[in-house]
Formats: sequence, C-alpha cells, structure tokens
Amino acid sequence: MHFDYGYTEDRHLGKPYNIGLLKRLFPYARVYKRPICAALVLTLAITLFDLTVPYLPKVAIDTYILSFWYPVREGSAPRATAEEFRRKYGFLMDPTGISESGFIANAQLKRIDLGDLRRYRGAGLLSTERFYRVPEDKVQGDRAFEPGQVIKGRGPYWYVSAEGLQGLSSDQVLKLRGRDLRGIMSIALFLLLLIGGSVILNYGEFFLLEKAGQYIMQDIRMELFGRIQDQSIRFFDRNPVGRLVTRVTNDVENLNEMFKSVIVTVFKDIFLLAGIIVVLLDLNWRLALVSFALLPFVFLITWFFSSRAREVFREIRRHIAAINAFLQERISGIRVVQLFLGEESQFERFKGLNHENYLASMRQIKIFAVFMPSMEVLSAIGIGLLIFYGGGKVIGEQLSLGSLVAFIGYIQMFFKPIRDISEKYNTMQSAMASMERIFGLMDLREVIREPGEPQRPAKREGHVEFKDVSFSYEEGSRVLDHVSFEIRPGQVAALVGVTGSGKTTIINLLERFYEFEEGSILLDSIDIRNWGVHELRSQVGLVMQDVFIFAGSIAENISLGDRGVTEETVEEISRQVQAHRFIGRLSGGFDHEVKEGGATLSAGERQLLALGRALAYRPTILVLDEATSSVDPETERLIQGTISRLSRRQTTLIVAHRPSTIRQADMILVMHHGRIVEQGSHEELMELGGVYLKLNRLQEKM
Amino acid sequence: MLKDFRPLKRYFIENRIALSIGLSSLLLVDALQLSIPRVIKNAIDALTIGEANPHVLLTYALIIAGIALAMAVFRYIWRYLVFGHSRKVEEALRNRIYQHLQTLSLSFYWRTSTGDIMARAVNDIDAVRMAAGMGLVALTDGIVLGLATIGFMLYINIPLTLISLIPTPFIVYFSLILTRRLGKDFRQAQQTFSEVMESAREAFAGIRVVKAYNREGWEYSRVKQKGDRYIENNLALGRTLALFFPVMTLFTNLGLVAVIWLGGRLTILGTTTTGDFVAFISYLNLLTWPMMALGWVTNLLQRGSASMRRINGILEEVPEITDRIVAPYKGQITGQIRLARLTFLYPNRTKHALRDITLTIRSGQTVAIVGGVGSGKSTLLQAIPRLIETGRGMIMIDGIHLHDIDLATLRGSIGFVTQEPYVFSDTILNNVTFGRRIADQGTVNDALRIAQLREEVESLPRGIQSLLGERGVTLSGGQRQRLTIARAIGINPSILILDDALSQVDTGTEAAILNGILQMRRGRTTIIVSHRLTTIKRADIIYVLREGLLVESGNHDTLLSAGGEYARLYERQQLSEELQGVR
Repeated sequence: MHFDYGYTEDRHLGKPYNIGLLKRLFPYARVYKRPICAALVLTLAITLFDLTVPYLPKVAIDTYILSFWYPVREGSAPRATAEEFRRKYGFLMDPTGISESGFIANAQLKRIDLGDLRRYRGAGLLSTERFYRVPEDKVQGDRAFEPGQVIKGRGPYWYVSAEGLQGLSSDQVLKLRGRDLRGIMSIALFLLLLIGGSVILNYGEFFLLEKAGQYIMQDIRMELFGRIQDQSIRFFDRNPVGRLVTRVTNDVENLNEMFKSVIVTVFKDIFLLAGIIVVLLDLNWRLALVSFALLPFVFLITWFFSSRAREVFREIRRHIAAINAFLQERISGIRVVQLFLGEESQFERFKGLNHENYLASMRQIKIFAVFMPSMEVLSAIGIGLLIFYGGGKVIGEQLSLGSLVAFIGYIQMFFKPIRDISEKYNTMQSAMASMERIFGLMDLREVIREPGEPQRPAKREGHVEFKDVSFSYEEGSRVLDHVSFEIRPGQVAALVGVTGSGKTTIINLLERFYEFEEGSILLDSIDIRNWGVHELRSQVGLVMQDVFIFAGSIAENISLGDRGVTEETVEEISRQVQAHRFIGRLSGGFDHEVKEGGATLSAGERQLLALGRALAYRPTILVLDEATSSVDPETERLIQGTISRLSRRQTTLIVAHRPSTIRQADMILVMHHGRIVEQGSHEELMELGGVYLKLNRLQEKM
Repeated sequence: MLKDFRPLKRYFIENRIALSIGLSSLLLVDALQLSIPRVIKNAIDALTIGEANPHVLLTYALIIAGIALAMAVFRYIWRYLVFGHSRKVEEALRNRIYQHLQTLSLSFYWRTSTGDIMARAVNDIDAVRMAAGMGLVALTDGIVLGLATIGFMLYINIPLTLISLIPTPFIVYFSLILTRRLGKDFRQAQQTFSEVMESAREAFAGIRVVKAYNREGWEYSRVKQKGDRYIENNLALGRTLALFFPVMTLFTNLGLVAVIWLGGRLTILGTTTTGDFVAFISYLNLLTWPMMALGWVTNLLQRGSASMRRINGILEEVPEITDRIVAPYKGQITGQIRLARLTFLYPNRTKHALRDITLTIRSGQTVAIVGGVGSGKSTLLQAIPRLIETGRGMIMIDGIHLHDIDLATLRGSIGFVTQEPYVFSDTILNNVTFGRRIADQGTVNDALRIAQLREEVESLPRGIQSLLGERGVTLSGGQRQRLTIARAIGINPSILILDDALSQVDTGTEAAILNGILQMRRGRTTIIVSHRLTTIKRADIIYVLREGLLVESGNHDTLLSAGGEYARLYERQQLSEELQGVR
C-alpha cells in the first residue's frame, strides 16, 4: 500500500499574494476583531515607542549636552547688518546690554537662513565662541572667572564661556551645568519608563495576536474537518487519508503562520516605515528627501530579488518533492531494489536528484548572498549620505548634531522592515498554496443528498426491499446487476457468495454510503432516498468486516460517545455479546484505554466490541458483514444464541462464510457476479445443487 | 552533544578550506562592521569641535561606503561558503542515508515504518543543516562580534562599558533559559500536534463507522478537544515567545539608559566626546545580536543533535545480510537448488513460518509450490535470493552454500516477481530495465511480448517511454503484474521465481504468458507459486506446504491419486474455478 505523506504534492505553488484568497480569510478574522483591534492599537503604540527611542539621544545631545549659546556682538558688525539681524532674528536673541548685545542658543541657530548665517559669522556679528547659560546663584561665591569668561545676562542668568568651565573641577562643572545634568537624568528615566511600558505592550501585542491566530486556526480547522466529514464515502475512496490529514493539520498550520506574518508585516512594518518617514521629514525635510533618494533602489533591488527568489524557491520545492517521492518509492519497493541489484543505479539517480537540489539551493544562497549584503550597502550608503550631506548641514548650522545622530539611527531602523518583508516571502508563498488547497477542499461538496422533506414511516419494523437495483463504483463495471429481494421484519437473512460478488455493496447502498441511480431500495415502505440520512442510518446497526477501534476506553468504543447509552447499558450489552469476560481481564475493565487501532486487542475481541457497539444502538436492522469470522467457534456459538434471541426484536442481515452461521438464517440470498442467483432456505438451496451447493462444499474444504 | 555530530566530521574536514575562508570572511565582516561606529564617531567629533568641512565629511562618507562595499563582498563570500558548506553536508548526509537504507535487510523495514524513515530523511536533515550552517555562523559571530564590540567599548571608556554591560549576563542567561523553555514548549506543542493529526486520521480512516452510527458530532468534538489542547500548548509557547524579544530589548535598552545617564554626564563633564557618546550607543545596538545569538545557537545545536541522533539511528543500523566470506563465489549459476532443514521464524512470532524444509530442485526444472494462505510459500521463496536470513538449516545453490555466493552474483542470477507488483513512477522502459544494462531494445520488447504487454505499451502515445504513476499512466493490477514479469525475464536469469505473480491476470492471458515463459525457459530453473490449476499442472514437480511444513511432493497425477493435501487443495480450487465460471 502506498501512503501519501503529503511529500509529493508540493509541485503546486500559489501566487504569493492572492487577494481573492485573503478575502476569504477575512470572515474568520472578523470573529476575533476585538483582540485583533486591540493588538493593532498596541502595535501602533509600540511603533511610537520604537520611534521615540532614537529620538532621545538627539534630545540629550542637542538640548543638554551641546547646550551652548553663541554671543551676538552687534558692535563688531556694520550697522546695516546689525539692524537687519535685529529685524529678522532679534526675537531669537536673549539680550544682555553690555558689550555683547545678547546670546543665541545653539539649538535656535537652524532657524536662521543659511546665507544670512554665513554673512553674520563673516561680519563678526555672530561669534563662534561657546558659552553656557548658568543660573545666577550658582556662579556667585565661586571662583572668580577671568574677564570675558562670564557675562551677566538680563534675566537671572550668567553666561560662562566654555574655556571658563574647562579649568573647573568636576563638582563645579556639575553644579554649573545642573540643568543639563538633570535633563540627561530625566531622559534616562523617561527611557526607563518607556522600555518598561514597551515590554508590557510588546508582550500584550504578541500574545493577543497569537491567541487570535490560534483561535482562527482552530475555527478553520474545525470547519474544514466538518466539511470533510460530511463528504460522501466516494470522496474518501478517492482521497487518501494521509492527504486529508495534511489539509486539516499542516496546511492549517501554514495558514496560521501567514496570519501572523501578514498582520506583522502589513501593520507593524508599515506603521514603522510610515512613522520613520514622518519623523525624518519633521526633523529636516530636505535631508529626509535626500535619504529617500535611496528608496527607489531599495524597491528595485527588493523587486528584482523577490522575483528571482520566488523562482528558485519553487525550484527547490520541486526538487525536494522529487527527492522525497523517489525516496518513499524506493523504501516501499526496497525488495525490488535489492532483488534486481538496483542499488547502484538507483543510488546514482538519487545522487542526481540530490545534486540538482544542491545546485538549486546554491543558487538560492547566491541570490540571498547578493540581496542581504546589498541592502546593507544601501543602508551604509544612506549613512554616508547623511554624514556628507547632513554633516554639511551641521557645519552650516542648519541641522543640530543630535538630529544627525537621530537621522542615522532612523535610517538603520528603516532597512529592517524592508528586509523582514522579503524574508516573509517564503512563508507567504507556501501559506498561499495551503490556503488554496484548504479553500479548494471546502468548496468541494460531494455530500449525500438530503431529501427536501424527509418522510417518516408509520411503523419502524425493519422491512427491507431492493427493487431492481443496479450500481457501479466506476463507470463500465457493474457491481450490482438488477438486484431485487425482500427481507420481512424480524427475519434473519444471509447473503452468501464468493469475494467480489457484491455482498458488501448491498450493505453500502442500504446505509446510503453511495448514491445509486437505477432501481429503488425501500425501508419500511419508504424509499431510503426520502429518509433523512441520519434517521436512516440510525435504523441500521452495522458491524463491518474490519472492525475500526477508536483510541479511547472500552466503554467509549461501545457507546461511541453517545450519552443515551448509559454505563449499565454498556455492561448489559457486553454480557450479551460475550465480551464481558475478556473486558473483565483487562486492567481497568471498561475504562481500559485502547491504543490507536486497537492493536492490543485480538481480532475476535475487536469483533465482539463492534457487535456490542451495534446492539447498543438498538437498530431495527442489524447488519453483520463477516462479523464473527475471527472469533473462536465456542464464542461464536454464544453470540449466535444472542443474535437469534435478539433477532425477534429486529431484522437481521448476515454476510458470512461459516456454514453454521448461514444455516440459521430464515432466508439465504446467493449472490454471484452482482446478481442474486439463488434464494431460499439452506435445505432448499442444497437440493437445488447450484452455486450455493458449490459454495458450501468449497467452505467445507477450508 | 557534539559527539552526535561525529558522522559529519569528515565533511568538515573535506570542506576545511572553504570553511576557513568563509569563517575568516565572517570575522572580517564583523571587524568592518565594528569600524563603522568608529567612523561615525570621528565624523561627529569633527562636527562637534567644528573642525569639519565638506571635504572631511566626504572622506568620512566615502570611507563608510567603502567599508560597506567591502563588507558586502565578504558577506557574499561567507554566506556562499558557509551556507554552501551546510548544503554540501545536507547533500552528502542524504546520499549517505539513502545508500545505507539500500543495504538494510527486510527485517529493518519490518520494524520501521516508511513514515518514520521519511521523517528522518526529510525533517531531521533540515535541522542538522541548520545546525551546521546557521549554528556555526551564530556561534562564531556571537562570540567574536560580542567580544570585539566589548573591546571597542572598553577602548572608548572602561567604566561606562562595565556599567552598560551589567545587563549582558542577564541577556545571555535569559536567552538560555527562554530558549530552553521554548524548546520544551515547542516539543510539547509538537506532541499535541501529532495528537491532532492522529485524531483526524482516525476520524477519516473510520469514516464508515462514524457515518453508519451518526457519530460525526462525537468525532468532531474529539478532534476539537485535541485542537483545543493544541491551542493551549501553543499559547503556553506563545507566552514564552512573547516574553523573548521584549525581554531581550529590555536588557539592551537598560544598557542605553545607563549610557545616556552616565555617558551623558561624562560628556557634559568633557571627559568623553560627543562622538564617543554616539558611538557607544551604536555599539550597544550591535551587541544585541551576539547576545541573542548565543542563546539561539545552543538551541539550534540542541535541536540539531537530537535530529542527528535520530539519523545516527539509521546509519548505525548494521545490514543483516551481507557477503560473509572474503572471496565469495562469483561464477556462473546453473540453477540447482537444495534446501536442507530450512527453518524460519518471523520476529515477535511464536509459530515458525518454515520448519525443517528439505527439498531439491534440479537445474532446469519447472517447480510449483502450492499451499494455503500462511503456509510459508512466500517466505520460502524469499530465502533463496537472501531477502531474509533463515535460522536453522541451509540453502545450497549449485552445491555452494548460499552464504559463500557473492550476494550480487546470487541476486543477479535470479529473476523474482513479487506477490505485490511494485511499479515505480518512472518510464515503462526504466521499470523494465531498472537500471540494469540491458543493451538492446529487442530484449526489452521480447520481455514485454512474453509478458503480453507489448501491444498495450505500443498503443500508448509515448510507447515504452510513457511515464507511470500519479503523473502518468495508471496501470491496472493485472498490467502491473505483467510489467513486473517483464522486469524479471528481461535479464533471462538462471532462476526465475514467480510468487503468485499472475493472480490479477485473466485466465486466457495467463496461459499465454505461461506458454511464453516456459518456452523461453526450457532447460532453466523456474519456480512458480500459483493457485490456478492449469498453471500448477504444467510443473515437473509440485511441492505442497502446510503451516510451514513440506507435506507432499510429486507430479500432479501422483499427488492427486494420493488423495492428500494436494488433492484437497485441487478439489477446492476446481470448485472455486467452476464457481467463477457460473454465469
């Protein structure tokens, strides 16, 4: 048997961004709009935090570290210049009234037009000497400064020159520049608060998104699971279980990845990018525009890269799928490989596939090895540009040093989200492919038609009639050929025939596992297609050829989780089917946990459980499809007794090989090549000397 | 942990030149990366003192761009070489696993599921590759970049460095703790994930029961319950993950707080320049990655070594069936087979599949082996090409003990058609030749003709080059059986074994195939297991097995008149064939 592990289906890949598919995801997300919106609000807040952090060193530098003032000496300059200055920029100046006309703060300088600034500097109006503004009380009583090193301001301030400070002890400097020091401390404290808050917000955001993502995933999984479960048996015949399991597990998992990625990339990174752009424009729009000159290159490279990366990514997926498919086939067919001395030739081929994969992944490495560093180069060129152009502006005093530092910080931040987006590319792509498969499956409706208005019989007694029923699983090969028979309420009917004669198909149709086109099947005088599907199936208690055991307790395997079936009923029934003896020997009795597939139970024990399962259901028709083939003759005799005792309660249809089982039937239907060829009691049929007689003799030879 | 990686040692040695160049480039990149904040510092300082002019600035800008370009080149080199190395390791390891798998005996495949082998050859190799590539990079980078950054910081200002480094041990510690917890949470989530998988598998595999008993709701709630537990586990994982990055940035930012506070103070005092202050902040940023890398790398290596252990589980598996002696027989095999007291017991079984079977098949004989289901026919046939190693007793071919014959010679002299026809997703031609050098097309065509497949193949648009399998032509059971027959007779082997190889072929075609084969095999040994009387009757000698014992032997007529097991089987078969004939 080949088992599809989902390794071979990677050949189909979706487009990385398919809006139509994303739209279908939306209704699932809408259910959790509250946590998602909350997370988005938090994201916004976090972005603000992230944007604030590089700004703080700027404030520290500009406002507190480099907090000097330049003296304005109107007397040293031509009168016209001095008057022009007063008119245009007088409001910036803190006037004194002594030899110096006043002082202008370093931070205010950028408000003076560059041309004017140069002229004032040249004319000696604006000195380049640096002074710090110090509160009056701090200067008094201290050492006497040399002339020119301190200047009294108009307010309660003194201006102390930078040279004047240099000769002082640290304590004195700290005292004089107390304001700056306190400013630095408050920035540090503010940062501390900020990062504390940021931790909480980040945690909240991540967790909210994770939670929403998980619940959305579970909703999709369960909807998909429900849809698959509702498909007809024909669907399950066509789709291997492994593939369906991959859909509800791995594919849904991929979707979750994408959900998180989309939210994170679309919102977080875009917020951040937008925020950086705004801050940069605000700091200095000219410099901002200069640094944005890099953006077209960034997008060009990203675009070029992503198209190349997509190709090679697909190629690798293809190679891996080929390797896995090859490997899986050779492992399953290992006997053929060894018997036909295929080791060498197959290894050569495997090596070839493997090497192709290696080459493709080397191409991928090369692409990434070009892309990642080229982004870094762009980022460094950005910094270079800032230092050259922005530094020029600092010299020209149009930009504060702190702003330049902040600019550098932001530009470095700028490239991260862009890199992120391209790294998320692979995730997006495989998620899109998964999404396509999931929704493709959800759109598939291959269900058994429910009648518009289900009919209910006047009396439920288990009266079965097949009228001229023909059926084929695949077109062209008929499995049932004009089958007609009737089983009256309370009758025990046996279906006999060689393998492949159509016995199990009769049961499949009675259960409405498959739709049939020709003829009709009546249950209690109503066409089964007019019964509600669930209603119909609850009339039939089916025990199948290979018993399916669920992982769970013994009791659960009998009741199948039906609350209507009490503990007492379970115990009562297991006594009836002779299962109580082996159950009693199991550790924990009815609570004994059965492992996956019921491997710890013998075939006979499993059949007894299945029989109990059917009886617990109180069906009007009991259908036993080779249900007692694996129990020992002694147990079978006991079960037989039970069945014949119970058979007064319901109609019974038995498919069996053992003559002893068949002989007890009121009526035997002999099937051959999809037709009912003989019908009657054991004695009648033996006398007939046809197929039944041969079957019987064949059975005796076993 | 490192000892698990020992099988990879030789690849590291093989790639040592590329690796050392790659890792040196990585170190160069680190060094260059560290110099950028220095340049920024110098530029800022020049700007602060007012010494800067456009020319100086341009120089700095160009230096940065130059460094960046050099970094790009070396980054390319290390990425190419180091990641390339990890891909080479992946390729070599995968080849090695595959090659080793081919040598393992059936007994290994009895106890190991295909799914398990696939998981190791697919998922575990990925984890190992990550450890060999990213792990190596993160390890080198984390240690070197981390130390160098600290060095640079110390160079600028020792006390400031020490203060700003206070949080780093916590970062390493937390990252270690958190990655470990992440690993645990991750495994837990994986565990529940496979439970979800199993419950879904069960629901789909048992769909008939579920539908027959209207238990859809029950199964739904069972899957949902597992899914809910999976959510719980994922959220636990999420809680740790949610903590991870914020806590990491918290510690880096605490460093920043220290630098602004104390560094700012030093700058005000004039002990440190503004440029140093800025550079310090840049270095602190650079330090985040190595700190996290150290935590991450332990995780990566742990996962890699766990995967490597699982892969070693396959690689250390010793092939049970190999050549036993130094100079095994490599000559011609004519096809005389003797079994002496051959006995076989499947693992974990108590009842012998074969017991004390002694028989002789003369060279050139056509032999039929008959018996009911589970009588040991297939087991006996599989012992001849040494697919299974028998316990007591022995097999001699041409008077040579099976163990003394070269395995390749032995298997090369046998054409074996297995009970279940195995066809590969490949062309028809490749399925017939299966890598053997069958020189001329004529031989392949003859084989197809004898297997009664030639006309069907020729009617396909691409003929013998048609692709089979999911993406190509789907064959019916009978066609598959005929294809595997063509594969076996294509080499015209000394011994041909057909293990119930025509069960899905209709009677008329079977007779035609058999005629062809027997005519072609005149004078060569042919062993046939079949249920069809017409086939069995044509054998020179018939051996009857029952529950692992040889109960009768002789030709058709003598066995029939003896009225024993064969007669019983014969009668039964006759009846069932008669039944099939009834219309």
